[in-house]
Amino acid sequence: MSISIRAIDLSCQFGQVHAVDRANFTVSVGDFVAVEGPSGSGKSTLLNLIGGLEPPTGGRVEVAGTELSTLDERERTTFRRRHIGMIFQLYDLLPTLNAWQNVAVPALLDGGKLKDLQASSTELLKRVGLQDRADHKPSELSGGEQQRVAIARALMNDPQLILADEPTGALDSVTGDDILGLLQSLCEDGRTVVMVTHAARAAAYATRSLRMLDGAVTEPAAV
Amino acid sequence: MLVYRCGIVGLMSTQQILLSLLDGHPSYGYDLKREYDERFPNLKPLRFSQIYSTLSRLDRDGLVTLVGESGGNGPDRKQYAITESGVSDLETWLSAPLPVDEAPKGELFLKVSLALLSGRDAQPFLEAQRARHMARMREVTSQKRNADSETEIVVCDFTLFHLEADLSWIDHTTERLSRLKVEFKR
Repeated sequence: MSISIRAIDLSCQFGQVHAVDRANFTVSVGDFVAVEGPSGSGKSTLLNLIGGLEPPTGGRVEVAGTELSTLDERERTTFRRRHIGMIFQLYDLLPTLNAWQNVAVPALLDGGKLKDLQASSTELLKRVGLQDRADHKPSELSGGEQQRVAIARALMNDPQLILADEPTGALDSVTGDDILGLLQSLCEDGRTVVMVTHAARAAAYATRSLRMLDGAVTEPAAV
Repeated sequence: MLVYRCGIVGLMSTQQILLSLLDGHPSYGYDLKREYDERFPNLKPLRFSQIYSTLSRLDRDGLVTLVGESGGNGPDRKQYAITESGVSDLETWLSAPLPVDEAPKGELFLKVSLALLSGRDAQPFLEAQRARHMARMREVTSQKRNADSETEIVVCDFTLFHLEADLSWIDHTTERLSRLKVEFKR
């Protein structure tokens, strides 16, 4: 199994606070990993380090064999856009664009033309079960539907890795189940998903857990 | 302070309770009962007869040993100490997670309490129990994903929500361990 993420003594310190403290782990392609831990344990910082949104203050992290901190800002942005899809708790859709236009955003930023992207965006909306909502603005969609749009957007440039920060945190439990099932199906298609969550029921959808406590990352032994 | 009774103290637990109370200092049956009553007013009371019969069984099995007898007759005159095998038996029990579905809530609490009471760290047990709960949640989530009917889904959900509640208690207790330790200092 090839390696999607490799962290070696990965650390991130803010002042005196060790948000991530010498983390060592690997994630294989196709893994669905839950990052669990109490509030303030460093989960989101770890996700930002993997996604290259935060530079490590020690150690390193490689995504698909590339060490992000060796790239300059522009290369890092391009790498992120092509290889990593991100999903957030509050969807972060652009309110003035409709669903398929939101899905097209990563390809637009990569130099694509909107008119050329309608077919592929609509196809991705179909993949997440939202083909009937392609022309709706975010304000016309439910929370679960907005998160589906965000997942379709994360898939736009066909990234191998999906990073999700509390993707069901703002959803009711049934809608949350649907979203988690969708993330699970992405892994079955050969993508890797790393999901930060504080909810055990969400973490149970993943195939592995990384536990964080005061910046330290451990993987509970199989029982 | 503690207003509810949690669970039943079974045969196995009686053995481990006595071993943990004896860990560190020899004691008499009468004193063991008094300490148990003081420490665990919310658990089912232990009868004297139960304590004496358990002590004599532990003695037979080599987990405790008779270290002295004061004058007079009767079982309350016998002083027992834990043996090396007793300590090892206690430590094995303290660190082993409970089976998930059958875990009576009182036993989760009891294991944490006895670990702290005997001056040990309860965190390894809580971590092991957490891992076991999470493994079970993964199994049930996978069953749910393959469910053929909505009925089967809600039956899986029933189990999942209960396991999640246990897990919340485990996480919450892990966070409170350092404060809890202070209360259990002998």
